[in-house]
Amino acid sequence: MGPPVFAFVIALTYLISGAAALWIRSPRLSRIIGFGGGAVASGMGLVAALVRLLQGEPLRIALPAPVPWVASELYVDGLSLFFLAVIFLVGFLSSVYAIGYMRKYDDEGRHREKTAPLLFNLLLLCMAAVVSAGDMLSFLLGWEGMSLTSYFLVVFEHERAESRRAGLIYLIATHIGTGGILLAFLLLVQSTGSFSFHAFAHVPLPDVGTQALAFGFALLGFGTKAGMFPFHIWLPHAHPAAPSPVSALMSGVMIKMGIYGIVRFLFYLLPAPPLAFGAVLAGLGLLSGIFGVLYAIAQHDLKRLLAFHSVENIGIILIGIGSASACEAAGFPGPSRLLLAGGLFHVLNHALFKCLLFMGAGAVLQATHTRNIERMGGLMRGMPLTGIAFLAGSLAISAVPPFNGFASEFAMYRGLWEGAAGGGTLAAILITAMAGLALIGGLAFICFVKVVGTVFLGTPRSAASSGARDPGHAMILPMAGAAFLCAALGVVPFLYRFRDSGNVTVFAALFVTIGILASVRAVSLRRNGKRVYETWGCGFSYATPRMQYTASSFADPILHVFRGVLRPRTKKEERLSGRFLLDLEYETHIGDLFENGLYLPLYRLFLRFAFFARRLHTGYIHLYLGYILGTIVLLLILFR
Amino acid sequence: MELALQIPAYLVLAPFLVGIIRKAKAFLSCRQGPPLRQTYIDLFKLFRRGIVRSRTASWVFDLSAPVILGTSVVLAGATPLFSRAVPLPMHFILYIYLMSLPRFFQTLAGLDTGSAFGGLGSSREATVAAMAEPALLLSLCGVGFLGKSQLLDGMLGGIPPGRIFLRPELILIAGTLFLVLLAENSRIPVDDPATHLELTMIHEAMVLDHSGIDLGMIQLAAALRLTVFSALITGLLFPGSLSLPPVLALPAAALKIALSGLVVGVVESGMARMRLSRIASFLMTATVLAVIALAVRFAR
Repeated sequence: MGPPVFAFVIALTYLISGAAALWIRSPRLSRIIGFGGGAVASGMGLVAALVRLLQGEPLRIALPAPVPWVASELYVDGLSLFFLAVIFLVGFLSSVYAIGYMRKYDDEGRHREKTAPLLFNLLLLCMAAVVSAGDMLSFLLGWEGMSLTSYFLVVFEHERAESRRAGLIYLIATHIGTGGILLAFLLLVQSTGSFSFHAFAHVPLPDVGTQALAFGFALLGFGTKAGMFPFHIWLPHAHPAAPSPVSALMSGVMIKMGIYGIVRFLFYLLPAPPLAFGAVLAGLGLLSGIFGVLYAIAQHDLKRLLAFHSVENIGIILIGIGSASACEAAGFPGPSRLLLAGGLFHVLNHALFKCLLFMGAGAVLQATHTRNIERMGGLMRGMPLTGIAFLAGSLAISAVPPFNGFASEFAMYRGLWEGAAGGGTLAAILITAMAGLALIGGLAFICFVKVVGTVFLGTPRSAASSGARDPGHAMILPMAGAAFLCAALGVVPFLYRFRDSGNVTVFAALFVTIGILASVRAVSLRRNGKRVYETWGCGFSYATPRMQYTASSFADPILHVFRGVLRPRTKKEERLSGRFLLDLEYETHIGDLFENGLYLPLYRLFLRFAFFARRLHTGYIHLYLGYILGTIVLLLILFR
Repeated sequence: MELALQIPAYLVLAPFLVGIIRKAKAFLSCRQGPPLRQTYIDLFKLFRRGIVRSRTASWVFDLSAPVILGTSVVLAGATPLFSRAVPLPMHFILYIYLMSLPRFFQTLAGLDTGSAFGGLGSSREATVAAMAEPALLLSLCGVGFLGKSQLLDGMLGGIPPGRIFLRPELILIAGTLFLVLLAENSRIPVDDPATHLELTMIHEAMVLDHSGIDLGMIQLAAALRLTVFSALITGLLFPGSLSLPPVLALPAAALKIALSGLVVGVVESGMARMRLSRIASFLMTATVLAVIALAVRFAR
């Protein structure tokens, strides 16, 4: 069975199982068949992509043309296969998870839950189409399909105004992005006279100005989808609004389609881009990373916090890719390869741990019925399995060795260091990137200590939190699988197969030492005793859960340090009677600087223009015909 | 032979360093201070005790002390003390990031007991660590450029011999590392290890609910980390001390550690603690020093 047939079988499995879910009467069966079919198709795809990745050369398959005079084709090379593997891996995990999670919509009796599997499978299929497209039209078809299906999944809970608003913002953002991509491609089409990527890659753009323009449009388009700063504003709205398996899929892989586009553009379609392109990309990555994690620290909504961390991790990936391109341009192919490998490895790693964290957040959400972490606490007791998986994901995302988040950042640091050793402008860029990565890592650490500490440790802050229990197998197993992979990808030696680093030896020594010390402690405690008693309360003994440190207080010192860039708005109202304080109200709020400072004013300006333009619409059909006539005349004059 | 001795030597020198600092501070404030052996006695006593454990704590709390001490021991295995070779060669990035593993567990253990003090300490510790990260990374990165290696032992051993005072980048990096040492090891002016009020503590607040062998492990780990930093800085300033004959190597190592203990003691006696909100500027200074060091390195 050749690859085209296999691809066809996978696509058909997605479509048939999704469509079948619509017609099956029982919600339970519909869920199992729909998402189960998706999981099977993703599993098959994963195996196929991995096998092909190990052996194959690029694959070009001609497709029946969607438009008569345009050849359409699939082009699957190593880069596509890598992204296909990531899509199918996360697709598999989140499909299985969805079987358990989507049960909560069964009892509504509104039948909308039956559309979810179809949309979910279509989203997966469209993403697979995006990374295997070999020409502009099939790419854009896949891209739009991906945007639309994910839009419908974002507004899945459309009875909530919050979801509808998030959906609208997402729809606008994603279409502005598509516009950027279209413009970038059209510039390439103009200079090559062909729609095929193959032709783009072999005919260079005429001058640096056009290259910069094309790159700028591509950055706008792909950057918006990736959630790159400053085009990230849709992301923290859309990801929390969607059901958790969808958030996992969107944060885990959908935003990576933007990364795929940027890599494809920078390393394949634009021959030999100048150093400045890579530097700009790395700079934007740095800003995404720092702002993403700072806003994440300020959040109390668990899923919104994770969404901001996606902005941060996209930033880390872009630092890797941008520096790789800069190194390439400066003539350092060795560091460039390390950086690109690190960036792409981080794509896989982020897909894994972000998917894991969103699945964990979904389990917590289902058990506590809130997304506010200030109302959680002590969940490790009732949800030990979710807790361990979430802790593994948190260690991974904070780049704590020996988990996978560290492994990819390690590769990037090596590339940065080796590139910087050469000196010059490049060294300045790479050293800045290194310092930035270190700061981002430290800040992510704060955020995840805060999350794990307030959600899973301490004492419950609400009744729902004290009664929380681990979810069923369908939700636990994918989490366990993802957590296992996060740990495994951190210690497997393939990435450390470099001349002078013995990371694996260090990890082995670490495990052995900790193991010995833990056993010493256990033996000693058996002999000397262990007494369980109250937490130290300064001598007082009426400690309540409300006296615990809250997430806000935990985040306060670092937010205070960065108050200059975050600009928190605070409100303080005091009610005094004479000199005595009766009542104090204090409120602090950190809004997205770009959302409030740039996009809202732009939006208002646009609305003003729209109200003005509305006057053209009078309702007289004669006038409309006149408009058409005028336009045709104008076009004839201009483009005769 | 020397390699096998390195970790035991660190374990012996760590309480010694803490003792020296206490002695120095006592001397400067005209007190006699506890004898040097007191820190050993205290640790020994703690290791023989059982623990009192908070009712709220989970397995994370139980695992924290072994993870904290274990990581410190591994870090000690990678830092050259009296010879260029080390038992556990380590990449400098892994070295820096490995420090975050014990910190993760320590800050979580602080939150695990459900005590406000633990949370307060954890929050401050995490903040200080995040701000110190770029300075630490850039300075070790600079040492790497000087020694032309990415391995910690390689970079310290690879620094070409010569007069230290003619090399401003080395002095600047050592200065940065000293500021980072003060911040990461909870010393004055960032934190006060001897404070008695929970509200002003950073490190001590985090470990308030640890007792017995757990506390012993954490205190030993903290002393080890301080010793490791001291060995790093003195190794940088006196590169010759890493290639001495075996007979002289151990006394020289003890001398280096004692010297850094004296310096820390003098700094602690001469300064007051900073306000919490000023720590950011303190560590920003450290980062800027590291950047200047790198600029000097590349300007040559």
